[in-house]
Amino acid sequence: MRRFCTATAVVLVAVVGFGVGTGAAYIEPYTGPGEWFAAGQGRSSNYDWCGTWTGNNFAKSASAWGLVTFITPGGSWRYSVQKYGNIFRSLSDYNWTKKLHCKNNSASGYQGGCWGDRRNDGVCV
Amino acid sequence: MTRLWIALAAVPVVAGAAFVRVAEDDGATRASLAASSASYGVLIGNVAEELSTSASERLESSIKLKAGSKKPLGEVQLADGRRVRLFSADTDDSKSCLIEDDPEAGLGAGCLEGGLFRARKAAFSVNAQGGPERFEELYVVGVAAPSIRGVALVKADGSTVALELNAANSFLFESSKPDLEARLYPVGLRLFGSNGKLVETVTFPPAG
Repeated sequence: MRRFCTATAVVLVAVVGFGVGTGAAYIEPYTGPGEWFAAGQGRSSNYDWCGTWTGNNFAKSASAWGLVTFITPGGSWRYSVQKYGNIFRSLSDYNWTKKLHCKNNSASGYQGGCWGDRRNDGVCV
Repeated sequence: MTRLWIALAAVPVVAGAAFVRVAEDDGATRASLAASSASYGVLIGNVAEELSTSASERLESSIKLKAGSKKPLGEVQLADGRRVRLFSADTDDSKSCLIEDDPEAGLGAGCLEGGLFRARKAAFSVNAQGGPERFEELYVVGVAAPSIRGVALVKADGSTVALELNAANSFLFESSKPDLEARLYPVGLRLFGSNGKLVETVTFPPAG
């Protein structure tokens, strides 16, 4: 009986602890810092096969025009936004497979860096 | 036996408290790093924080929003009936942001150093669905400086469309289906002063 109770308690702690430890939001760069973006050049993240990317961001100067978008496995762009300066995009619904993409779609090069917002609910391994 | 259960049950509680503490400590650090291109080089991966429940909370955390600085700029309505709400807000690191809340896409923000109108007399974004070859939807939304009394959008063929300004000087242009099929995309804005004189022309590349 004691062994059973101990085993059950260990499983309980493991399960509850797992939920606490993995229910996290964090940010993850997918380019280097201050990377050079030549005219027309873009960078992409890996796909989130569990739908964990929740946002896409591009840090650059106020004179730099560029875009961020979310690319489906079929290659289609979704929720693209283009702006001068720093771009932030936070999705309402992120439970679908995508990779992040940032691009200098202007005619001149500049330095910038791209990162994603990520969430791990611990429901997908 | 009871002691064992109490001890084991306390573990996740302590772990949870510790997790929240990490989240509180790292929240400001994360936002600071995310919003600053200058400090982007610092490792910012795997920083745990308490889960935000909405896109709005996640965005406001990312841009390091200055408390009390968020101001509504009205809303615009797209052809499918969606209403996009616009806001301006300042950040703790002296940037000003134009925030768009699209009920389908989520929230977007463009943040500029020294104010929304320091570099040009309109802050705006080009938003699209589909692509990169062909777009299903494309709209330009923004706000003009208070001194601007008229805004016209320039298409790739040189034609222009006068845009309506709301009380906060916000504007919207949405490409028609024929324009999207013809890949006739927006490429600029013409900004006019109170006497109707052209003050500034802002150009940007076609979408894609």
